Amino acid sequence: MGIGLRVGVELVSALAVAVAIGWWLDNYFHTRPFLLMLFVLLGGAAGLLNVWRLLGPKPQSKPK
Amino acid sequence: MAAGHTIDALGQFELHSVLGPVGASVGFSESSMMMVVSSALTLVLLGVGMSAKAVVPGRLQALAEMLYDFVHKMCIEQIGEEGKKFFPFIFTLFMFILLGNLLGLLPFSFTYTSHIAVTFGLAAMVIVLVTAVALYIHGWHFFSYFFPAGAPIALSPLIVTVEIISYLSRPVSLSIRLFANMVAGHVMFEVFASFIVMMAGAGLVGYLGGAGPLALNVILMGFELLVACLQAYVFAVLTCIYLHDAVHLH
Repeated sequence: MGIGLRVGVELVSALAVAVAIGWWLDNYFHTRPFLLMLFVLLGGAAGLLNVWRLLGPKPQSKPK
Repeated sequence: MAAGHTIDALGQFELHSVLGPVGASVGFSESSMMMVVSSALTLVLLGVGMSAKAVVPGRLQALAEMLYDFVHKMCIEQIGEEGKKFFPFIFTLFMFILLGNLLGLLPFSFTYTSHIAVTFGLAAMVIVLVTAVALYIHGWHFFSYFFPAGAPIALSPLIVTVEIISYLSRPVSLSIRLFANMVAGHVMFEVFASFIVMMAGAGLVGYLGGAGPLALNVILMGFELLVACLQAYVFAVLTCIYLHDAVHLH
């Protein structure tokens, strides 16, 4: 169950953070729901970035 | 507990105060109780284990030394030579989560790592430390972390926002991973245990049928021991990786 759960958690957590930010900014600027819509997309992108960091090619670590 | 035909799989995570009226007046719950127990066990393990100072270690000393070496090696491998500075923090974190997970598997015990409040508290502590370390070492240069070198400047608003969301999602994913693993394991225990009780209610055939979920629960216990250790390791190793990023900025 390891890798599947990790990918799911990465996707969901990025989305959750983005939704929280979008929601808060919307409240702050009174622009509901436009910033929320924008941040949902950005959150999805950030989630994919997380998954890419998890599964993608590893950078040559510790060049020192 | 299986009351009638319903399975109350989440009731086990409810908090109650312990230690009578004294505990109730300060809101001292099972969760706090188990935290105190696990911290005390860690201290006892290290204190008693290392008091012998034998060249050929006994069982307790060998355990203490192995745990110490394991975390120490992990710090140096993941963070580099600077990792030694963070060893006390990582070791405390690792032992706290490991004992929390393992003690939670005992009957009549409570798994404090199955509460998102606890795991998110730990993860928030980690991310604050990581950010503080990065700011302390690199100053304002730390913010270049959010913009990879060589990316077109026109894309910067998009990249920086996505990178910041990705950075902020670290504590969330860190806490959800530990919390979800613990909750899932304990819910499965409860569900299969309820099956045993329900089966047993059906008479002689039920007693035979109950052997199935019982066997599953025994297997599950072995699996949960693995998950308990693995999740403590994952939490510690991810903390190390984040600290590596903070110290070296990529």
